Amino acid sequence: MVMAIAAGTFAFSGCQKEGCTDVTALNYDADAKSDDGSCVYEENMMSTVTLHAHSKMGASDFAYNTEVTNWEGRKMKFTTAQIYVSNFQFSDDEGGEYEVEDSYFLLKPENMMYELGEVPNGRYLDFGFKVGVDSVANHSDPASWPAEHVLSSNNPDHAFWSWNSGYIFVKVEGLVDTTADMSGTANAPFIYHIGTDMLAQDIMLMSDKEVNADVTYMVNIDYVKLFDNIDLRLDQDSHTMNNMQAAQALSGNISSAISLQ
Amino acid sequence: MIRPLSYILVLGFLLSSCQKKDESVVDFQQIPFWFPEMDIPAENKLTQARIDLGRKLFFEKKLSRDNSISCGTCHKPEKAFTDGKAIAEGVEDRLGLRNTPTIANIGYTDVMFMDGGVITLELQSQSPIFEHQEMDFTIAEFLERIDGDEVYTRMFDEAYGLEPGAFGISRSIAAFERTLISGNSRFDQYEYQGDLNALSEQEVRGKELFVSAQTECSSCHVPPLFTNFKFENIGLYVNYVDTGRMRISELNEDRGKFKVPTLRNIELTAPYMHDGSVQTLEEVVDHFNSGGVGHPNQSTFVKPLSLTEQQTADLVAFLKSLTDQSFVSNSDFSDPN
Repeated sequence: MVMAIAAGTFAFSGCQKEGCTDVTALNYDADAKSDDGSCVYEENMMSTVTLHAHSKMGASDFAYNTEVTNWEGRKMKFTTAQIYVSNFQFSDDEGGEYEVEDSYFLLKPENMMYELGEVPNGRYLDFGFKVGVDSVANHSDPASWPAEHVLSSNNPDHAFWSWNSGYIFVKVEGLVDTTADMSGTANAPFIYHIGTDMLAQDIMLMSDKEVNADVTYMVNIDYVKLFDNIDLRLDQDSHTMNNMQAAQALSGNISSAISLQ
Repeated sequence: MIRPLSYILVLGFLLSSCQKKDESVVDFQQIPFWFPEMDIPAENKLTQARIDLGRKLFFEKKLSRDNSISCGTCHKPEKAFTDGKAIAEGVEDRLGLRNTPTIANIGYTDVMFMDGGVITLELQSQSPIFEHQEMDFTIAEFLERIDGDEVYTRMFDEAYGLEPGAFGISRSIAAFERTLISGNSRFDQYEYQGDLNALSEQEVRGKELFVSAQTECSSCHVPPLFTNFKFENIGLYVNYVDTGRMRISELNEDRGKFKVPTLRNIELTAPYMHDGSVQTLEEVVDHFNSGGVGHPNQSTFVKPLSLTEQQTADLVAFLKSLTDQSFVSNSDFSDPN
């Protein structure tokens, strides 16, 4: 009886080749009739991309309530600084683009690391994003986003024009020296709330990277540079619609204020 | 011994009497038959739980930074949801931009604020919370304030199956506002319900003058809602400090245009105009009688009317007949807190 069984086993193993029978595995064997547990899979097909946003005030690291001088030597300091960014995408070396879905973030100087999401492994020549939110999201009802979403009106830093439906992309407030000869201290308030579809800016940063593991992009954001060529003595505030010229000037500075480290 | 057939018959009777009744549709709004249908978004159908939560939040002063202001502070039910001030005042008596408008029958419009900058009730209900001149607060801080409040937790869950948050706040307040129907003035009783004793002779004269070719008031203030929901410039000023609709559209042709307000309950909602600059209904009629200042964007309907003193008095009498006492004293709309 045992002999018969033993013979039978030998006979069976001769008829049925064993190997990896999973088509998605690297060592898939089409001839294998039964799986021997040897399947090997490509690990890390996607990698996590993180944005390391380093906020600055000109040459200095960003610090709230700390005096610095702007493009014309005028002293200023910041009490609020936040920027909505969105639509992160990566261009590969074959002319293709990968867009990270639902990528919305609110950058604040005190938070440096932002996990953007996962991208397929590969070589990417540049990465881009929008300063602001896309126009569809910009006209959405903030309360309709999931409660924990960055764009939800539950967000403690929610910045939105409730009288005209639109996110305040760049919200920067502080104090500035408004003396004519710039000899005073930063003690007069300035407020810049910049938004509207037209003033969103698309940023593209050249960075040739081979992504085959979790990777970080290091970016500088210079808040003083946002005010280049803006006379803060004359234009102490802009809520965009009430001072479009100053708003456009700040928006125009965005791409030069953001750079790869 | 009871036969099996009897069992079957009895069972049959029992089953038929256990048949589910059609769930009666509760009418939360009781819209008069002479009013149009109101569009209600599918995601925010009216339920008692939603209305109750919205009403509680409407009168909730914790939504303001210093716990002093709720929606009901400026939108007082007894003044047809206005506040009797020229310009709305928020926390610390901060002056807002404009006169507080009534929200009677507000569910019919997709034009919120006098310049139409916001197009849904759900969006609008969030706005005053964040406005620096109004409640000067944030939803995040309000949620901290009510953290652990069992009543709110239960009410949000019953209304939307959610935890307290922006969605429930905005939707429930909108739901409550959609129940604010005002359609039972003496004018309604006379005009649509056949009660010929509801209006005095003078008020009837005023009514007929209102719709006449001489005044054409009803061209913009179209009954029964008494607004055409459009933006019009009525030639109040030569130079408009508040540019109205232009603030939103950025078009010069919209300078000085504001949403046509309803005239319902107008007797209770003084002072008048977008800036509360006109005190009495007589002065309002006098303005239209004068034909406005002749602003380039002025509506063609605003022209000298050649009203006699009697006619002015008749018109004012008619306007006062648009007051709906049952609306302003409805306990369903009062502060439940």
